[in-house]
Amino acid sequence: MKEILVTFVVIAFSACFPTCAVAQAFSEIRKKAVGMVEAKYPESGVRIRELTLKREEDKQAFYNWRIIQNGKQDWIVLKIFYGGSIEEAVKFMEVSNSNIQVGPGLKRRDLGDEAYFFEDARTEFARIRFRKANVYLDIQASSLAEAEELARNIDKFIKKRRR
Amino acid sequence: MFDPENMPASAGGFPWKADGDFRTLVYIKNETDTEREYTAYLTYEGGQYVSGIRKIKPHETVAIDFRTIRDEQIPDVNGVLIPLNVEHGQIAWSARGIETRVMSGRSEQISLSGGVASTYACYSCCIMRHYSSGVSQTAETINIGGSATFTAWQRDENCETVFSPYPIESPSWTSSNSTAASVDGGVATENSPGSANIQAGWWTNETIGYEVCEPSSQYVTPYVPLTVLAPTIQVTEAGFVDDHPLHKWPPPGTAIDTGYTPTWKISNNPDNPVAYTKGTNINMFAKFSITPSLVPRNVKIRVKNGSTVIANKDAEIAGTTTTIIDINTTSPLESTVKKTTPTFDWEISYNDGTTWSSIGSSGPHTMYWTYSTPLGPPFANDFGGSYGEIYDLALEKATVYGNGASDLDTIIGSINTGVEAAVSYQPALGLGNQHPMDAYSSPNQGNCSDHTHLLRGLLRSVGIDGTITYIWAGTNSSTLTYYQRGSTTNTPSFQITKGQHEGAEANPHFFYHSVIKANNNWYDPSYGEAPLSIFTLAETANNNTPRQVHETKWSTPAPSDPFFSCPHP
Repeated sequence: MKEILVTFVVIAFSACFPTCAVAQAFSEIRKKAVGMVEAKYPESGVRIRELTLKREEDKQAFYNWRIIQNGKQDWIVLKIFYGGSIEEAVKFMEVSNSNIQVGPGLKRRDLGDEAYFFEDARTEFARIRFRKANVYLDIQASSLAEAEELARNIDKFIKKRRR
Repeated sequence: MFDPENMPASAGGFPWKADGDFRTLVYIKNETDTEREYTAYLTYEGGQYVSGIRKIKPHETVAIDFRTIRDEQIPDVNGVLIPLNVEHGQIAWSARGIETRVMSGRSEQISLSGGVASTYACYSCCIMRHYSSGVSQTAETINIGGSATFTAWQRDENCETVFSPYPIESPSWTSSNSTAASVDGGVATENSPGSANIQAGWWTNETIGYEVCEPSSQYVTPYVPLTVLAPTIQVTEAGFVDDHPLHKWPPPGTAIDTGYTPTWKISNNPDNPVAYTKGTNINMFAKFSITPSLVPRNVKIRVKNGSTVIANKDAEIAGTTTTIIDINTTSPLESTVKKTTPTFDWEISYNDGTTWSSIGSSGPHTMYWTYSTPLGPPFANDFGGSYGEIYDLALEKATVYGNGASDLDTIIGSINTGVEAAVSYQPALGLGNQHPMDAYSSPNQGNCSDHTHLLRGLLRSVGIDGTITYIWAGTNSSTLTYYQRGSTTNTPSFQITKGQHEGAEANPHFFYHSVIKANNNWYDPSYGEAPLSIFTLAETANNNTPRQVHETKWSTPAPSDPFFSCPHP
């Protein structure tokens, strides 16, 4: 009887593992992403970091930071959509592509499962949008390098997930 | 016995004793066919017993038995008792009225143990006369809703003695200021805050002199000042009903000004706004503190905006707090789309509007005046999500932009310009599925869709509808045809000829553009000007892709075929 019970537990754990192991709570991703921004732009005597928008909902979160340093004002905008499935996140990306007035931008293959970027040196604006598994991220910064650094770090943190 | 016709006056005096088994009885007789009045005083060492005014019927004889009064401790009109150890004294009596020879009096003293029985009469030369008179209190103060009871008194004198006062039963009561107080039967009741003299009047005996004793009558009018104090009433809360329901920004936000929830309080002020359609009357309610507590009282309340009376209300106030509802303005406060912050002055009248006194001020009240009833849901985002709440921030923005405009085109134009000025145009952005009003959060930027969704939401919040119209280049209404712009990351469907504006470069390449159609005009909040001039497409894929103008977006973005790459940097 004891042997049968142990076998059942092992089988049950094995059946759950592929999903349980890769699923990340939205709160965990949010916390990590916000922590990355705060770590990259720590407040100091020469830098002011101000969170001007913070809205956390069931499936999405929006953050705007104003970074003032050396008399220059920059912005970091972070949007996270946490789809209930990969398909939902894919659809979200598709709709997002139609929202940007200058077009979705160029595709890139070094981030997540699907990624686009846009850069405008004249206005010092860069935007990277990428989807990894069921998570969609929209990162806006003053330069492409800044947006890429944050995107790569978040990309590493988000685990792949089976469909 | 004296013949009354020969008596000098209907008044007299006797000694009395009641020691041992002595008994003294004084008989007073009305010698006329008319009911009369008399007064009698029993004086003794250390005190005086006053009969007050007594009536005596025609030809009636009344007896005053001192022993009975003393032994049975019968109080006089002032509540005085003759001490049991008092054994002798004097009595003085007098008819009231100026007629003479109307009563007679005599005394009998009997002691069975001493075998004594005597009777005699002793008359004064003159009746008692009025010495002084007055009202029970020297001054009285009552609150609104209160009353005070007064009595009148008189003191008489004869040639020897000034006697103790006695009450006047039914004087004539009058008030010198019926606006402040009325009096009936000695009971004064307030009418409104103020002061009045409460006066009692009655005829009394006077004499010119004891030597000649010519009785005369005089009407005496003692009075007492009465002050009617107004309670301290203070408006402590105020709010509005029948207004447009609002939510506090940001989402989800709490409902504000629901039902009879005050928007203003004298302490811990929620300072919530209220919204009404221009040209409508407002319905207010207010709570008042009352000190001291008040019995139910009908009053008039009025509300002033500056020097203008905007509302009147008949109401009942009572207790220590009163809430009055349905205080309606008699005419609309505003006729244009705007934000106002009036302070209302509250006044009360206790006398049907004759005089008014302040009971404090409420406000400033933040009031948003819309064009019409807000349209729901007011806001939608670019992903098709909608928001049912009317947010205070939306009305703050829209009505401030409206800035007193009354005609539709001016209102829409003002709000269009307001959005353009408040949100910097950055075509590369896009709030997407965020609330359009997130554009008001720093960095205060947005693309054309953000601008149009924001403008539409603000218009609908003030009751004006607008339709978002999309412009792109594509082969048909469901297809957007895009191309590559030089070596940039820009993937447009068209280029327009346009000057540089904020984040938009000169002659920009756009995937799409959006404007608002409202009141049969097109408004472009991205550029803040008439949109028609930008609709001439300077470039499309292969320069032959037709322009599309629709209220819904394309369903399929497709690369141009053959793929077009324009040479612009």
